[in-house]
This record gives sequence, structure tokens and C-alpha cells, in this order.
Amino acid sequence: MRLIPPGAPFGYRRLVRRTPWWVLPVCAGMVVLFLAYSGVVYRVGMRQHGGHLRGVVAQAGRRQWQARNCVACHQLYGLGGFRGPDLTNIMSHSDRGEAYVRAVLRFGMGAMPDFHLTEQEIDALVEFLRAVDASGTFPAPAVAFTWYGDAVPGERP
Amino acid sequence: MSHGRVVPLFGATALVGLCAGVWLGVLAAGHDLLPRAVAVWLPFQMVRPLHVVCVVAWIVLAAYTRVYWTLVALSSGEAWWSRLPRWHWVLVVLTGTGVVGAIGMGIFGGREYLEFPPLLAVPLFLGATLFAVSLFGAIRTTWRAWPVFYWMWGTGALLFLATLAEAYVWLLPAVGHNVLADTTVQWKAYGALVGSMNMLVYGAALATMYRLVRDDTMVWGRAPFLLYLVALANLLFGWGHHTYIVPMPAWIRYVAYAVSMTELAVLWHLLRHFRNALRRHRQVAHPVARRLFASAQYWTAGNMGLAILISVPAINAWTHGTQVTVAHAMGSMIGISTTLLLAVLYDMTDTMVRSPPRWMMRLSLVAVKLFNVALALFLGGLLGLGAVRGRWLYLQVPATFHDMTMRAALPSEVLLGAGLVLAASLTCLALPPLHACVTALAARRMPAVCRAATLT
Repeated sequence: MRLIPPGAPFGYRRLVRRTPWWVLPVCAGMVVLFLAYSGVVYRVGMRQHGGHLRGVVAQAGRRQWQARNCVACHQLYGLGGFRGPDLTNIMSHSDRGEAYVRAVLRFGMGAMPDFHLTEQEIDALVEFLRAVDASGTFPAPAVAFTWYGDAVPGERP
Repeated sequence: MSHGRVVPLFGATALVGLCAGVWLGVLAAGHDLLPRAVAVWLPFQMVRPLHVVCVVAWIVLAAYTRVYWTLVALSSGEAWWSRLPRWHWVLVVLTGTGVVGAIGMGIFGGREYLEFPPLLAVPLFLGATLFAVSLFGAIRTTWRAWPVFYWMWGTGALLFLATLAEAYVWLLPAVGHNVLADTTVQWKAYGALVGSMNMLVYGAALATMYRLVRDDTMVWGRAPFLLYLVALANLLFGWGHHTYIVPMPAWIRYVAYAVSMTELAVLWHLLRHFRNALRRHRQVAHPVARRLFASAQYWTAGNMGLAILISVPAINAWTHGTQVTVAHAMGSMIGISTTLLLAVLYDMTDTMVRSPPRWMMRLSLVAVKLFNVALALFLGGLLGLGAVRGRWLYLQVPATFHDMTMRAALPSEVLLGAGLVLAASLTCLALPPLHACVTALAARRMPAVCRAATLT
């Protein structure tokens, strides 16, 4: 009889130096499931009507956003660098808004450099930020928490 | 160039990436303190992507180093795939030069983490393809007897290609012209991309642990394979916690919540098992590697706790978009991946250089202690910054971004100070393996040493 050493994991008795037969089918099953899951996520993602960048100006704004590497300092939906503020809803912010955004883009402010943007580039960026603003809200203004740890629409405590 | 020289070539490149990455990180953290002339010449939006690229390059290249070490030991220089790794290295150097050049000239791709122009992803993809072909070329005939780390490397190699391609789906207008679809797909791809790199890293660590203790239960049998499948499920389906806050159906969140963090539990289990086995084979491991493996176990446990907490949607709703998330990412990148990969490289050092300079080894023993203390302070600083930012973001206290940054002065200073010590200690830890790689390259004796030292 083979003794099981202390601390040996589950399955020690059946140990042989080969891959268990069920590993490959389970892997393949997971990959198939993943492809199906990805398909559903893509379909759901494409149906998000709020986030469309309508018009060439907003699309040019996204290109400017990337060409200036704005994500190094700023965030959209809380994703990005932390040096500057999140800009998801900067266009509809009660104290900020379009005029403020245009002024900062034109002259820079604090750690935000003056990128010497042209009027067209500023217009494009403003249009892009307006489309982002229309796509949703971050942080969610009203969130309630369930007993099992989920966050759902409601009152933030 | 001889067959085995790719191993020290990859090792040295990875370690140079580590040293450059950590000091660029210090430069980014202290960017506000730089003289204006320097800050204008080296703006933050340039320093940050360089830091990210160097650190990610370190992780991936160090994992490749360990994989190639095994592959070189498995075959002679006449194998049909044996020329591919050196072309892989050439592509790595070309991509690295292109990325640094593009970012240095202010040409950005502007995507989080992949901030270089999309065109440079092509050589990156080709290099990763060469790696996958080499790996499967070397091990394909024995697939029925693969230890679990071969499965991890194979999974990591294939999924790296798939997820890197997916990370560029935004180039298609259908995704790129929809902010919500773009954000969701981007973080879905990134979650799996990081998971695929983790597969390579954990596989490398497991291969080293097995080489040291020769305990078959760690790499064959039911338990390690069950754990590998759990990690694979997390890689494929556990990305959603990055996008809890993006408007999307709740079920995506639930799937992510259900499978989150199992990967860290797997790693912790394996490290615990290894530590128990190592107690019986204490003399075989390099002293620095042993200490690094022990550190990795504690950092895995700590990071697992933090990760589980921030995966709860109700807590995530307060911490998302703050440095608490960065603390989790840094805990994984530095505390787990870097610690494990340094341990792996130290184990390889043992076989490359017969007697490394004694002062270097003494320095690295001190550096391990400094590293652990500095990392704890560094993560503390990030959590402090996250708390200040979270209050501002969700409770509007204080009212303005400027006031919030003023209140964050203390944790910022802790972060910068700890970052400096962390960078210094990691540089000290990188020195002995870097010295070993350079010595092995100069001595041109890598294949023989490899063959003698590797048991898998």
C-alpha cells in the first residue's frame, strides 16, 4: 500500500505521469463556451445605442483623444490614468461644461499642458466628449446596495 | 549564434526592461517635482507609456526566458524550430525600439496600456506567433504526458495571440465608433490578455518549483489540473470586474463576480504546497529564490484579500476609478509576478554562473527585505490615495479636483518615497541574474549548462 505524505493534495493516490483524459475535452468545452459568451457580449455591446459617435467630428475627436494620449492622465468611466479628473460627464457638469472644457483645451491648466490645438481639433474633442457624456453616467448618481453585495440603481447611502 | 544563447539574451533584455521600467515609474510618480524644462521635454503622457511598456515587457520576456530554457534543454540545435526563438528576439528588439521611438516622438496609439501606434502590434504579434510555434514544435509529440505547466504555457501562448488581436478590434468602426462597445470589448480583451500572461508566469514559477523539489504531485495528477482549469475559467470569463461601472446588462457582471479571483486562490494553494515541499529539500534552492518564493506567497494572500473585496460590486462602486484598483494591479504585477519571475531567474542564475560575486549576493539578500517593506508602504500609499480620491469622486468631498490633490499630499509623498526604495531594491535584485546572463553570453556555454541543469 502506498502511503500518502502529509500535505499531499487531493488525487495523490491516482497519480500517474500523464495528463488526465478529461483535461482536453474540458478545455475545448470552455473555449466553445468562451466563443459563445464573446459573441453575446459583442452583440449586446453593439446594441448600446447611447454610445454611438455620430458624425465625422465626434469620430475625429476620438482620434484626437488617442493621438494626444489623453488616457495617460484622464479617465472615461473610471478607466485610465489618475493624474487628471474623470471626463465621462465633464460636458454636463454643473460647474464645468463646454466653455470650461474649451478654455482648458485652448490654454492648458495646472498639470494639463497647452497642446497648441487648432479650433477644429478643439471642436472635435468637445464633440467626442459630448457623445461620451450622452452614453451614460459616472459615477452613478444613485446606487443602492443589496444584501448579497450587488450595486443596483437607487439611493447612494 | 548558438541554439541556447537566446536564453540569456531574453533574460538580459527582460532585466533591462525591469530596471528601465521601475525608474521610469519613479519619474512618473515624481513628475510634478521635475524642473519645468525637463517636464516639458519629457511630458507625463510620454513617461507613463514608456513605464508601462517596459514593465509589461519585463513580465512577458522573463516568462519567455524560462520557457525557452526548458525548450532548449529538450532538443538539439538541429530541431526544425530551433532558429525561431532568435528571430523572436530580433522582433522583440525591433518592436521595443519602434515603441520607444514612436512614444519619444509623441506618436501615440492612445489606448490604455497599449499606448503605442497599432502598427507596432504587428511585429509583437509575429514574435508571439514564433514563440507559440517553437513551444508546440518542441513539446507536441509528448502531449499525453504534459505536466500542468506545459498546459499553462500552451494556453498562455495561444490566448496571448487571440486576446492581443481582440485588443485591436476597436480599429473596426462597428466597435470603435461606439464608446460603450469599445470600453466593454477593450476591458474584456485586457482582462484575458493579463490572464494569458499570468498563465506564462505561473507556469514558469511552477516549472521552477518542480525542478527544485521534484514533487510529481505538483504538476501531474488530478488536483493541479483541476486548479489549472479553474484558472482558465477565470482567464476566459473573469474580466467583467473591470467594467462593473459601464452601463451593460447585469448578467455580465454576475458571471464575472462568480468566477473572479479563483486564479489567485489557485496560485496561493500551489505556493503553499511548494513551501511545504521545499522544507524537505531546503538545500536545493538558491537562498534569494527561496526568500522570493516565500514573499510571493504572502503577497498573493494579501492581494487575494484585496481583489476579493474590490470584486464585490457594492465595494467596487466606491473604489472603481481610484488608486485602490491600481494597488490591486501593482500587488499583482510587483508582489506576485515580479517576485515569482525574479525567483525563477535566480534559480537559473545558479546554473549559469558557478560563483557570482559575493557582494552581489549579499546585496540581493538585503534587497529582498527592503523590497518587501517598500512594497508594503507603496501599496499603503496607493490605498491612501484611493481613499482620498474615492471620497472626492463619490461624495464630492472636497469639492474640487485641485483641493482633492492637496489633501492627497501625504499618501503621494509616501508613494514616491516607497517607490524610490522599491526601484532601488529591484535594481539590486536584477543585478545578479543580469550579471549571469551577460557572463553566459560572453562564455558561449549556455546549451551545455542548460541541458545539465534542466530536468524537464
